[in-house]
Amino acid sequence: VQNFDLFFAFDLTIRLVVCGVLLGSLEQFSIVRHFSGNGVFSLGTVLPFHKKTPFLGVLEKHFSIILLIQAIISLAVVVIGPFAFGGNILLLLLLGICLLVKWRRQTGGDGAEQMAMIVLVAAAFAVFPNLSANRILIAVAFIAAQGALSYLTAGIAKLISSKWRSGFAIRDILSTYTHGHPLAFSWLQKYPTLSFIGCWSVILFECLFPIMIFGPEWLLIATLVIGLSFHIGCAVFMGLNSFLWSFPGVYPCIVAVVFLLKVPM
Amino acid sequence: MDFALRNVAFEDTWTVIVALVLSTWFLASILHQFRFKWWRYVTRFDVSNLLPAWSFFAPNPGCHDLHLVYRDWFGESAGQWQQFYINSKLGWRWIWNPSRYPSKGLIDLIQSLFYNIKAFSDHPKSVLLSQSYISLLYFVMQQPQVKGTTHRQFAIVANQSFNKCSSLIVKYLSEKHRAEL
Repeated sequence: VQNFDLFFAFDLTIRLVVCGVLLGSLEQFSIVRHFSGNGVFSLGTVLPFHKKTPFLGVLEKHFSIILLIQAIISLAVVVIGPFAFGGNILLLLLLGICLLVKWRRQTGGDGAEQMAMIVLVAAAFAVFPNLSANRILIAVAFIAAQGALSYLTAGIAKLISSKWRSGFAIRDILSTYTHGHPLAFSWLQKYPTLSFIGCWSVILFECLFPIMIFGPEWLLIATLVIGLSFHIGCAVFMGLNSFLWSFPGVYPCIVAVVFLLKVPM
Repeated sequence: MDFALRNVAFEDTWTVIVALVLSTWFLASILHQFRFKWWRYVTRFDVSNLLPAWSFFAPNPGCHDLHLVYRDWFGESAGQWQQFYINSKLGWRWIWNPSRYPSKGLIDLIQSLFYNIKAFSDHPKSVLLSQSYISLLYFVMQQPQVKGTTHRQFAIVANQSFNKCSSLIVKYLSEKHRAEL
């Protein structure tokens, strides 16, 4: 773990997060019908949210092509990485297309997409117009800080919620079709203690995340393994598949910053 | 030599700008989590939604499915309620879940409508002019119509789909709107 240098961490984070962007563009391409006709994201449905609409007509006609270009550029970034020749241009192009797709859609975004945008903007700053060690350090620190903030905020918000403290939140979330699972719900309905333990485990893990990563090396590894398992669980039982790429994707930056701060000056 | 010096000066300046932008963004992200009332004046400028909201499923976890349903009116008689379905394959959602986009899109519109209902509680009719209401109404009106439909109405209902004991709760009932074929 101590061999994690900033460049390696930055490179790995970009590739992992862009894997999620690739998945998102292919998923949106597969439901492109929702962006036209009587779909949820049809022009007429999103129009009330647009203040200026100069490109919407053009975008409407070529939206499936734009999603395909987004997928191709994402794949290229995943394969060659941000440090290869032209990697910085590809990152900038990908950022532009992601912003365009998000702007066109207006609704339907989630936390994973927000984290991906944060990583892409920070990465573009770090490698454009040229690669800079100082700017990579700043970008890695920024990404790691946003990662830690995300867990801490989620933890505190759950801690102040009576539904989470009572231990019913996970059971009730899993009872829904949108973010639930029939099998998991039936277990938790049968054994409410499991739901209670689950709620408090999530609260404690998220609240203590920024402290635990600065503990001994075994605690750092354990925290990240628990985090990864948590996101796998959320993907399997709640359908939050994009979070599996965006959040564990920033772990390399977190590890790099932790070791950087631990090195005696 | 002069060119090299200028390059170094540009590099240093750009690095300072990047450091300032990213540290301001991070501080703004921290403030954004507190949802202060005055902060709304700042978020108005966040057109690309780059300020993250990290309080996933809290403090109010989404414990109900929100369904958009609509019915046609034929003069004075009402037709059956119909639901707009977004199917997702539960077994594959962990790796491939395209339905999360339209599903979340509809939930965002519905949540925005609920926010407006609360915000305009003194003038309930004002909700009809809100972006989310117009958007949902347009979406509902675009769904296939049968011959003879004069008006269409939509509603938001909530339940816990996997909980057999859960009952359907009507959260919102819209006005009747003239249907144009």
